[in-house]
Amino acid sequence: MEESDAQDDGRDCLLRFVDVHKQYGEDVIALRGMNLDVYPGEFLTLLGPSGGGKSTALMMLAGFDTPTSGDILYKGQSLADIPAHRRNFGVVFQSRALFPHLSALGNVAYPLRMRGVSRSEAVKRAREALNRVHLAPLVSKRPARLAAGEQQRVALARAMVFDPDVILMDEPLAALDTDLAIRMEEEIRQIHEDLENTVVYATQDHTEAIALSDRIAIINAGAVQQTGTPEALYEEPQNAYTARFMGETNMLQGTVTSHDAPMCQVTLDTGEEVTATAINIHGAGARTRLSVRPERLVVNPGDDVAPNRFRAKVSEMNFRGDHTLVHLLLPSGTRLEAKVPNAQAEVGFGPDGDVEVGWHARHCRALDPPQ
Amino acid sequence: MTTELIPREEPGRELDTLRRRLSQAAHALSRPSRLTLLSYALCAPLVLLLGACFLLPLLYVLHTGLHNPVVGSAWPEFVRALQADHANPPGEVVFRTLARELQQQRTDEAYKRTLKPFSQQEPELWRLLQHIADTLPPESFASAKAWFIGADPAWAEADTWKMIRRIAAPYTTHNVVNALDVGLTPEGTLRVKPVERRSYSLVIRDTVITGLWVTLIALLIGYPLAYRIVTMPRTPARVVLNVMLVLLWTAVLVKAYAWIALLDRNGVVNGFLLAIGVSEQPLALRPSRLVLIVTMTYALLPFMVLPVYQNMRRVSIDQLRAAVSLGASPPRAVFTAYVPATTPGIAAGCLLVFALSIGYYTLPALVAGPAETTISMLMVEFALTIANNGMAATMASIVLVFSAGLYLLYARVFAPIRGEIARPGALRVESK
Repeated sequence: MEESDAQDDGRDCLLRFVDVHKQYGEDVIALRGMNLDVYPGEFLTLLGPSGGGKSTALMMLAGFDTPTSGDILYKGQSLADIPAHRRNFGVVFQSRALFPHLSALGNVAYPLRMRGVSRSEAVKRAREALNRVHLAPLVSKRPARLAAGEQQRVALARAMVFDPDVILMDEPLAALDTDLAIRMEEEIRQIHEDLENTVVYATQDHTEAIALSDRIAIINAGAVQQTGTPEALYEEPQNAYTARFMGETNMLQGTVTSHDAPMCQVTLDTGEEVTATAINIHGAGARTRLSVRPERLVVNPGDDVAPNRFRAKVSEMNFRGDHTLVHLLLPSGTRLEAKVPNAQAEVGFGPDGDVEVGWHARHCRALDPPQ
Repeated sequence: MTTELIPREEPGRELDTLRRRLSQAAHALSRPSRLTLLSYALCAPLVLLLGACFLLPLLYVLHTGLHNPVVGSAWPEFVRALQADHANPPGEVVFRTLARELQQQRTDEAYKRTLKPFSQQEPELWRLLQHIADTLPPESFASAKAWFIGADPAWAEADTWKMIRRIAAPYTTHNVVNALDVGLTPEGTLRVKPVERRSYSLVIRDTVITGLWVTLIALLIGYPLAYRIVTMPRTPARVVLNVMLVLLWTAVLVKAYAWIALLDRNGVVNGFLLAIGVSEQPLALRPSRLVLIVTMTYALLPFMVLPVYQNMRRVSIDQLRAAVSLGASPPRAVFTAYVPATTPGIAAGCLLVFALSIGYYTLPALVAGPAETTISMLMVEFALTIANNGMAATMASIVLVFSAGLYLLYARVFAPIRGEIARPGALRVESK
């Protein structure tokens, strides 16, 4: 799964996880053999469910935790002997972790003061950093007097004011309202583009990851499932986990009947014959999961869509603003969901209508077998 | 706000509903509802209890400390006459009533009690009065004033009468003055007593110094302990906290005798020291100031740990991590990020321990007393042994004023910060 990462010798990457294991006590395994490269200047997002290991990985980068085995390299050298306060990495916590006894300015000046910068210089640079996150009028306020979004901006300014080599962000937007989170996303992206710093960002939210990242690493069960650009992960998932985590998808179980690379024939458990792109299967007779994104399903397709075409009944239609989510029921009992853009002139069917549904084989990916 | 409560209807009816609801709300606000009255009624027992068991006794103690009933109850007419006549020396009537009441009382034992405040506060005056009482003829005379002045010219002096007025006044600062070891000049101004004549103020000073030591040591032990408890897994942390609560609940006598068993001449500590050969003979460990401080620190430690622990629970460990990630070495992170965030807890703990220590009685009295006297021991001495309620009440008031003063300081300085620190902690996320 990590072909791209494992091939080079790591000289041009900034940070590298090498077979990192982490075990707490007897039976809690947080990381099981994590391999991951971070390149200079990129915005890399660790995307995964809570408990998947991304926080552990981030805390190890920051130096608050050590691997049980394996190593983390920074510019080719082990981080094991470098204590957290000498790493020069900025960390943004989900809890913000602002110092309640210091003003916003005091918080942002703190890392500079710790580095021996003179008071006047520290204040000057802290003001600039707070300007960058649009908090200039609030510099003298204590954290408790700031709104949640403002607190997170102070945390952001504090983590970047000292020109860190890497900025680590642990779900910084998770505690914010959706509107605010989206605005903060844009600002974080803007700051990253302006400063061209390396960012390692952890989140559970795939839309956030897609909006922010140059590259995403899907983390689950203590290991990297797949890395790639947001587009690649969304359109070309290598396994069912990635396909599902990156967004809504139709997941169909079946058995491979013939494998003729790059295509394969699959008989669904409900009986339909489907042609799919072979991605992660092991020859005829293997079990597999097929993934088709709902926006790739075409209702009442034209002649160009072949060969996957089935008769279906519309069981439900949910208006979702820019598109309508159409629930389809095949005669065999298979359920599918299709996204039909509302911008198209006329959908031409209604609830309980009989329709035909089809999709291209290139949009249907045969992935790893069900567990 | 109100509009959100209204179900969506046609615009006209919506407005009507709004108007109706607003008038209902205004009506409800203008008079206390039955529910409000009921909730006041439910609070009444608490208010009564507080009044009867807390405020009234406090006021009584403050009153007792300042009240001066002795002369007034023995010579009621004299005191009344004195209050009516403001001249120094006063007119004939005052002299005459004094002579009459002295005549009536002279044979009585009560007379000695009446003269006691004079003997304590102004020995000169006491001698003057005694002289008069001894030589006072049993029959009445034409001019009492002339006779008094004839007996001793001091009766004509304004200073004499100022002193009498002060001692006979229904309220006096005498106890306070006495407790703080400052003297009063006849003009009523304060003068500090020379060191060799001070007594109670030295006890107060020692008690305060002991209290400061106890507070400091409790902080030095309690702060790291609280931190340890906060960073422990939940189950052992609960065990340690419960142990501490049990320590609070244990009967004082049990604790006192445990300490005595430890520190006595034939106690555990001496036995150990003898056994390992550190000392040849048993040491006199108690009573001593050190033992006083040790036992009080032991008894008051929970009052330091609990508030600090409560404060620390609201300070996320992320703050320490943040400080370290921002370039502070771990010790520096503790002192620049963690300790300042816990100052409200430290202040609350120190306040509690100090306020309790200056009034603490049983344990120090049993383990370290009576050689090491504290304010509370003086209080007990005055109240139970000497039966001087005025001084006992004054000592109690001094403790009260100390505690109240410290509390006001705390409320002014730290309570606002405490609120600010509490809030970010509410967003704390359990670390995985």
